[in-house]
Amino acid sequence: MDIFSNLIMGFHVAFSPMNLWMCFVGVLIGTLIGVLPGIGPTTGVAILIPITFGMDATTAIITMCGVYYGAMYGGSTTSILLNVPGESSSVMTTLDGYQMAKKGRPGPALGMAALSSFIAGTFAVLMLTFLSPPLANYAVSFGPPEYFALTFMGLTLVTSLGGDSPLKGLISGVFGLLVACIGIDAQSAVARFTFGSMSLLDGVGFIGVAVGLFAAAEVLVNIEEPMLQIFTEAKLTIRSLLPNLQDWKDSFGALWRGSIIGFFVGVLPGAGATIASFMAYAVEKKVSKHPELFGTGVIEGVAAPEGANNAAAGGALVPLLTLGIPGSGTTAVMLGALMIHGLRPGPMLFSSRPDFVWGLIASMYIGNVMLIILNMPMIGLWVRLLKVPYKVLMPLIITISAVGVFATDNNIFDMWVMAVFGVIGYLMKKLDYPAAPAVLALVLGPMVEMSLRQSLTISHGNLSIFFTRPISGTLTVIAILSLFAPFLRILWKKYRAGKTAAV
Amino acid sequence: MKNLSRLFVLFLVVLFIAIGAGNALGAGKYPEKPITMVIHASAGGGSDIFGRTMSSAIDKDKLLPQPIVVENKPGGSGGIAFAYVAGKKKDPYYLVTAVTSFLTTPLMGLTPVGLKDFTPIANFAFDEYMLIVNPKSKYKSVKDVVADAKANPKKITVGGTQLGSSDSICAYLIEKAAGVQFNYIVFSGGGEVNAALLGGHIDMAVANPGEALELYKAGKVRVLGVYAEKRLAGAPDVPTLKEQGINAIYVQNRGLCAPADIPADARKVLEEAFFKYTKTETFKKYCKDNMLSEAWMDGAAFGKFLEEWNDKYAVILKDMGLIKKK
Amino acid sequence: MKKADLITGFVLLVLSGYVIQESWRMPSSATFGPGSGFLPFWLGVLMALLALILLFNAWRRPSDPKEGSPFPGGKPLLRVVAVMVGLGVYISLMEVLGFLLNTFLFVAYLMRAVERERLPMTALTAFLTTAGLYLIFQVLLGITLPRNMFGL
Repeated sequence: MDIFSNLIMGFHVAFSPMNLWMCFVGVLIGTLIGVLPGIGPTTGVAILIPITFGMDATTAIITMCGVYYGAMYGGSTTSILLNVPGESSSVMTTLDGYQMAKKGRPGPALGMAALSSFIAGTFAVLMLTFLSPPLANYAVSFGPPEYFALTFMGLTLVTSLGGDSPLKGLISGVFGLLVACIGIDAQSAVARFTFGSMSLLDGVGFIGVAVGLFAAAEVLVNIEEPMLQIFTEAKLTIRSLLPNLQDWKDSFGALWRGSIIGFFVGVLPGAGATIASFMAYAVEKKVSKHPELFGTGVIEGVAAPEGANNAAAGGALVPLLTLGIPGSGTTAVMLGALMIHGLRPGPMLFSSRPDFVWGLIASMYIGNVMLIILNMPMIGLWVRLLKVPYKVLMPLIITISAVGVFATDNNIFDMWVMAVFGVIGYLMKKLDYPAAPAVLALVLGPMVEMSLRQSLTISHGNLSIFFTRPISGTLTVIAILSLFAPFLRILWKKYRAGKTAAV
Repeated sequence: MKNLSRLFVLFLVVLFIAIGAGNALGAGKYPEKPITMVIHASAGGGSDIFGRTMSSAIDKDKLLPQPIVVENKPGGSGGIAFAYVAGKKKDPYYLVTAVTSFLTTPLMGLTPVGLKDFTPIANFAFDEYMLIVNPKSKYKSVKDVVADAKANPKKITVGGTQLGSSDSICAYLIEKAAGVQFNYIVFSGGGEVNAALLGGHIDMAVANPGEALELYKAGKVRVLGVYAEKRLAGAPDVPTLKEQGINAIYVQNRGLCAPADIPADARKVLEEAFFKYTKTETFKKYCKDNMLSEAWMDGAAFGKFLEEWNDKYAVILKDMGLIKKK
Repeated sequence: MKKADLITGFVLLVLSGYVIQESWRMPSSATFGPGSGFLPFWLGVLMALLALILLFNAWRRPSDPKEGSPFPGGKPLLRVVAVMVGLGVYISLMEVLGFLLNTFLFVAYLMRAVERERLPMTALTAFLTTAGLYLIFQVLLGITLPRNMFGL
């Protein structure tokens, strides 16, 4: 019952007018930052640091957390409406979300994105409330071999994201891995494929690639023939704006699987919301009765990644609050900001500053409610965006993407990345190469390589390290099975066919 | 009517002279516009906190007539920011944060610019480093580590960030001082190093107090020693490595540099303002909160410090095999 | 698709050749385990393999005379190229012209040259887009957008 009395105290803190107001301001700015392409929660929180200088630490972190999950909510909007990923963790939402919009169902897609964000976000806060201390142990239980197994398993899902041709999906995935190799190799300080360019030393920026492959490529395809609007057939009645009963039935499983995957991946320092949304989508496609429909606008394809990325945002706070270890780029920035306020998260934070921790947790419940109230009425407004003539929308999409990509690091080079990958994405679209595997590989590639090399350095080159530890052993076996699953299936079919033929 | 128009002309003439005089008087007065401080790392990192704390204090206490605007230009181990500011030659309206990477990145050949392209302005503080282990570890002191390392070369795993970073240099310093060899494991960030140490996946880690002191206070890590001449104010019971017979001393400086060949008076204005800043409550609190030791140096002293460490790093990095032969 | 696959396969083969050659020069193994050249090398090999499969499949497939090229020709192609080139010029001139002027000109170019819009509408869209972006990014979020030498 201790938790409940703490939580009540937390609500006292969170309901102070100042905290309530700043929570609102935070989620509002967060939603805006999420909606803008390229620029994501990490940049959003960083921008806010100077503004929080005058506040006390609790108010400051309430504001920053508001921005954090506000951005997670808002990220889906442009992904669904314009195929422009609002931030890296909503790349997966574009796959089915945009197709739904094109088919005249932007409302249900946006509605499902908001509602699944709300449900998953609340789930994550509940987990954070009741399970933080045991979760801290889980967070550090993942060593290099476990990360390798997890990310390797993620890579084996690449093929399942492809379109009709597994070969083209694989080519796209390997291409993504090659792009991931660009930059300085941290473990040996050797520069790889940098062509002597200083800007390439840190590798090719993920967000520039994603916005290029999805947003810029889509514009280039759309521009071929003069078109009036992205979709024309929609009827904008109130009922058509919300997910219907069938949508709920379809999304229910995706939603809870996405939430759980998202949360547990989010807790791990070093994984994060982007990987969580990839995994949730890929798993959903694997377990679905109609995997072939994914990518054509099924609502599960929106619910799973959106649920996962919001749950991951909550999960990332677990190691930050319990150990002082940031679990994602955004929480790392928050940790920095807290240090400016003279507050140093660590194992003793729960006991030394309960008002702070529980105030924050309580404010997350409130923030999630605020977001859903804020976002549901906006859906009608957003959908009208699609009624804007495309020739006006087109320059806006290009410029806003370019500036959004620039704003993350204040670097013109990222604009070039977007432009080049826009052209590559256009070619890929025309030649039927799916873009999702390349993007997934780009995120996972560096982690797979790093954890593989870390593990082998620890084990002195002994491969058994991946099998002898329980978590990594299980995950590695699953990964290998899923890698060979298509072949096994073919063999099994042949065997069956041979048998029936013999009889 | 005629009078009115005459008055108007007179007014214009006076206005014109006033503006001209204002310009003439103001011409020598640096700064006339906001100064841009380029942070070589991403928002939220150590250098970012340093820069933003300073910029807000200078604005609040009116230490300079113009504000300092913070701009992050991360990437290329700082190389992007260094090249950007070096390109603003003679322009005193640009500053760049200078920590270890300010010297190591050029030495490793990752950026075409180097020390000669900058005017050192001031150093503010030092970051100390320490060697930490899991509390369940069998190592109670650095002596245990060295003894074990001598018996089992390349067996003990040390976690840290990328090769060439302060962490890797610190690990190397013990290897060199004690004549042993560790097994250095690279992680992508300090947080992940600490997580791996807590989970028992690595034997030791190099960390700076800002990252690990809370874990130490909670008994989640044991500190074997600090890389400093004297014990840390925040952890007086932890011995230095030197006390334990390992001559490994390392500090990371936190300073600012301007482009080369800026006017001497501008340099003076900046030095004075920054010196006043180090006397403020904000700065003292910043150092205490982030476990830094105050270390003021003016431009000349900082320049000497940089030269001296540049030579040291050149030797260390060469030993580590990180300087490519040209 | 036969011709397209043959060309892509060839391009990918050249790419993987380059990757293999480059990674050959990197250390392939470290003290323990693989070095920095390991992954790129095997990725290059894998890519070459995939490219060969693609080429083989395309070569074996009978060409379909009815099937046209996946790429547009004539006017649509011109529009796509116009946007690509425009974007390239936009990015190159960003630090020369500054964000405000550059974005105004770029949007105007897209409206006028690509979309063949009338002049007043062009000017209005260009102005509103530029002003809107400036307001959101520079004023509201405090991001320093590129300026030209006159500080604009």
